[in-house]
Amino acid sequence: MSNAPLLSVRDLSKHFTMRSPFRGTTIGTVQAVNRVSFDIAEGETLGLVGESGCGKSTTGRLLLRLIEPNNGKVLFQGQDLLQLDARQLKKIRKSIQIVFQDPFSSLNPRMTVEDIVTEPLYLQGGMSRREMRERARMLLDKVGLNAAHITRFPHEFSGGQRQRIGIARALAADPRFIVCDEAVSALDVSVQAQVINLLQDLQEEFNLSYLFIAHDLSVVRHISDRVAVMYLGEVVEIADKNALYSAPRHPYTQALLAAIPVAHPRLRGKRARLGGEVSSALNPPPGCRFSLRCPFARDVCRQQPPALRQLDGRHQVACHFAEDLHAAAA
Amino acid sequence: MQTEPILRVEGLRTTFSGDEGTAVAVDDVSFDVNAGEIVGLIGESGSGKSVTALAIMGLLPKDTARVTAERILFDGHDLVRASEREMRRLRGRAIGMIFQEPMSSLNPVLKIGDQLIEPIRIHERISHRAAFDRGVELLSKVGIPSPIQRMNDYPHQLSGGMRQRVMIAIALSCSPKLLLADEPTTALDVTIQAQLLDLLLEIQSETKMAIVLITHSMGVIAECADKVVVMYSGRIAEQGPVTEIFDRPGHPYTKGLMQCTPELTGNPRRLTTIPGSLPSLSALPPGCRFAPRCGLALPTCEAGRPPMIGLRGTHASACIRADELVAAAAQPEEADA
Repeated sequence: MSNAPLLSVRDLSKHFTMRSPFRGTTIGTVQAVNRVSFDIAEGETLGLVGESGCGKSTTGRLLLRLIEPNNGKVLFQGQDLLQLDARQLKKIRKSIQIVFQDPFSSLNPRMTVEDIVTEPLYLQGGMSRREMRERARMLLDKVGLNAAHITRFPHEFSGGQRQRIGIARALAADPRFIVCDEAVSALDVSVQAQVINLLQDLQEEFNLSYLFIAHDLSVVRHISDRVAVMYLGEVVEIADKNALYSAPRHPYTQALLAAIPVAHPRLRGKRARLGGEVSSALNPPPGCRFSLRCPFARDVCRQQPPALRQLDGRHQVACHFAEDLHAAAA
Repeated sequence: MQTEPILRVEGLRTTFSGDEGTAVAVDDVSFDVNAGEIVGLIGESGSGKSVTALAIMGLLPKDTARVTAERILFDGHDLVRASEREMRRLRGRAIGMIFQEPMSSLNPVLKIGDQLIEPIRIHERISHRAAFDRGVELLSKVGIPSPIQRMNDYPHQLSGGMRQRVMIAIALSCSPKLLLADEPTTALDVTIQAQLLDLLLEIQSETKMAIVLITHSMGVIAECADKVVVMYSGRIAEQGPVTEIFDRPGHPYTKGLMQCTPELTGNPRRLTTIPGSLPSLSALPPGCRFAPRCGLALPTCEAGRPPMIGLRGTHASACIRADELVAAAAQPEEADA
């Protein structure tokens, strides 16, 4: 692992302006992603978790400029992706790929598996038809599909197999970094485990880095090296996975972990539950965005947004009272 | 403890016929639900768990689905032979139901209050005023803030979690003896899921109604169920008390399901997987339906349907090697070869 991270995100923001559907007047701003910063090293998996609407998928898409960010920097191998023009971007996109959630809608039903998997190669150019077909066969084999099925269409495959096709497509152009946007969430658990193992094997073989976006905390724990937790468009905590899961420092992370169902009926019992629901990202509160639901919130939390700051080691948290909470828990 | 179960399903079979022939979605399913008990019905997509619930309620389309059973006894009524009129009297009153999709199971053009009052006014002879008051009371019971105002809201004005609370309120409106909850928390975020499961458990301990909880999550089962019915490809793989199932699973499918769920405790480098995928209903294997994916399968497994083998107490498994599995589980952590 080299010292400079493969990907460095700084103050990445995306604000959507909401207009009234009838008059067209601006009624507010949705801060879908607000000043998000993180690093991902070569060969590393960063898990990104949070509830629906927290901005985790938007973050993933901003990195690839599938959605244009308003602000910030995305440094990939030292180059700021947000400064590139269309031609430069196309060139670098072969190194950055994405696997989507829904294996039913993310593959074109009128394209054969070969066309789907070789499309990135075709767009990059420089390969003959035969070379591309050879590579497609090799990729299908890599993701555990029968290479003879190359002429089939997506509907002839099950959900898990389709997700493998999506992974083969992402691998086609030999990427360094893959955004896995809820890549296993739609799968049944017996099939999900197969795809998780596949992603880990591929990572080892090709030294890939992943941004693994998911709402399932157990899956994220399994696959990630480090985990970032988002709430209402902001990162509230980042840490090595063991530190995050065994000693969460942000009250929201603590609440998320407490909400996971128990692993065995004998472990049932009353646990502290988070009340209320995620508030709207439209015109969020001025202070800490979690303060409306936080059982520990004080006046300062409602007025001043806490910055993401370093605690011990590589543990970062955005909470005014992280130390106090930690001391109280111990 | 009541000795007679509140719901007894015996030999339930459901076939769907379409242009491409017929498919048996549920094949000879039998289980009991005692009063005050939470029975978890677990399985992956296509295992027949939702169809089982709809068949019990008599809600499957009559033109394509054929439901047969030796009997489905609910509180003295045989639901397979009940007339539509009789079913209408039971549905929404003695048996409540909650569906997965809180977005589509409420009528978008009717106010919450009207949808809440409707079943009460149909089943009970009380005034609109009294029904309205009951509705407000129900909304506050399921944890909806400012319930009187909410009665006048439309479904789109509520979040997914709030809509599911409204669904629970509607299901509870006539104090049912049995609640069928079909993946009630699947579409929701984990903190909202936790709130709703707590709510269901709280109401259940108060009213002592029986619940059939359909889910695909072992975690939800571990959190709530007293008894578990594991379904695979239209049949019951295994059933028994929840601790028994978790400690000594008697079916390789149940064991596999637990091993490939990345639980919070224990975090192996690699997940144990179940190879292959669920069989299609149009090409079912002749013997045990799990046999093609099973690491323990013997030639006899593919020959014929395995019988239900009784294990300890009410625990039973449709696997001819169930005894071996249970014995192996009793030994502490035998290496999984």
